[in-house]
Amino acid sequence: MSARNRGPGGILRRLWRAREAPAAEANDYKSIWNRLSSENAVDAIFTGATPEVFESSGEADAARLRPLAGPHSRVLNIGCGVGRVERYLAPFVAELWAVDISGEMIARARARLAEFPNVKLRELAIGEFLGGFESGTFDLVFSFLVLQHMEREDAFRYLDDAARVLRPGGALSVQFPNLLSPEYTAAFVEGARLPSRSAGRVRAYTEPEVRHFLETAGFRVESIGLSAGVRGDAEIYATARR
Amino acid sequence: MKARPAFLRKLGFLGGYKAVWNYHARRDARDAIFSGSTEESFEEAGRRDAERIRRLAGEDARVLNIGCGIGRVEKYLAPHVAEMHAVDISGEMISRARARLAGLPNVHLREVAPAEFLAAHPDGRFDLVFSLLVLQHLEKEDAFLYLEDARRVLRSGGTLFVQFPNLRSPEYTRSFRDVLRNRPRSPGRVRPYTEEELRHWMEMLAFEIVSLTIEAGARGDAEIYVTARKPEIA
Repeated sequence: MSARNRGPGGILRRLWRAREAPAAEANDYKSIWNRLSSENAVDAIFTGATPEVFESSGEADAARLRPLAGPHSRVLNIGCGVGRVERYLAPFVAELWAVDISGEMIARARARLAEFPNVKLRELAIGEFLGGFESGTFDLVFSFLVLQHMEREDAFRYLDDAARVLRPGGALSVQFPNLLSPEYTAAFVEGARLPSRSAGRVRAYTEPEVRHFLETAGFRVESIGLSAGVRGDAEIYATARR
Repeated sequence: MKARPAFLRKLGFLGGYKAVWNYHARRDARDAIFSGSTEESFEEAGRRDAERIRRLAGEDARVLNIGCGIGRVEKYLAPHVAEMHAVDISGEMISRARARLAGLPNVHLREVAPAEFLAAHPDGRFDLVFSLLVLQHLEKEDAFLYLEDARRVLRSGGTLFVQFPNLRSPEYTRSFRDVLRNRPRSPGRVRPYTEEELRHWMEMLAFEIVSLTIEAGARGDAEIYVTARKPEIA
């Protein structure tokens, strides 16, 4: 609990918030990812990954982003986890901001990224989205393996907010799971049969859906393609410009 | 949907689909089923949908509707088929349907329990299963489970006829944006779909698509209608 929530004023504030947020939300993204982070942060981020696989995936994603950013770029990552990608991208950009809904993840990222003074980490409040950032101030916003864990409406709100914080012409790079791939088809059916569904479960998309979301959020889609998985179509990667 | 006190809305939401639709049925069942409809346009739409469905079913057909509400379509379809079965999650809707359809002896109504799906109906029982303006209000996983169960209760060669909102239409792009900021979001809110997603679901469920049409709305692309067949056993 933060200092400003203590004392009588804090109680009133929390009651006021409780009026706004239903009981179900206590169980929402924040508590899910704090719990997963405490259990096994690396596995929660990249299921089944060894430390080597985890690091090389971070390196590969950073390499994917480097053509979109230069040494003067201000970059933002939505959902940094323990800082998988930051470690390999930070040396090549001016400022690397990273947000996460989970304070537990942020604490681990802080330890992992201690040697990079240009990395700025921030734990988001529920419903905050990118509200803490000024409009038009980033050159690149990216998000991998994160938007897939939200209700579609929340994923869209992040895209909408990403468009706002990007400068005109700024780039967006995002990944979504492809429903049409064998992997996410199986995961969808398996998940549908579970007796209870986590708010953080994976939502799989179709490519036209991703394109439509990006265009509706005000982006011009530059490239959209499929990669990874047994058939090479498990993940949808999109690059778009504001 | 008209504005109403937030605390009432929340009480309803905590109970899932059943509470949502019981709440709407008590408040204004017709408007909840077909928002903005007058009595006349509501009946006219029911008549039109029944007309369309009749072309997929013969006079000896056993038909099932998933999510009948107050019996919008049943009233006009029941006289033309052998058995008209209908389920709904809301007991309040079912009791209104019972009153509305009282003169039709071949109508069989059932209030389903949460997560019951079509479990009350035996395998291979129906010639036609349809669902209009209903699956769109469920989590995608639940909509998929209904379709899966629809396949089970259909006979080989039986027909599925379903409607989904088209995400890419101006209407559903707008409605999707409109609910973004709602807190909490109703479990009964509309989920729009892409054509690709529905074609993929049909393939996953081993339905053969007979036709997929995109129609209605300002640009003629608001609703996706899928007619599909459960293949005959080879």
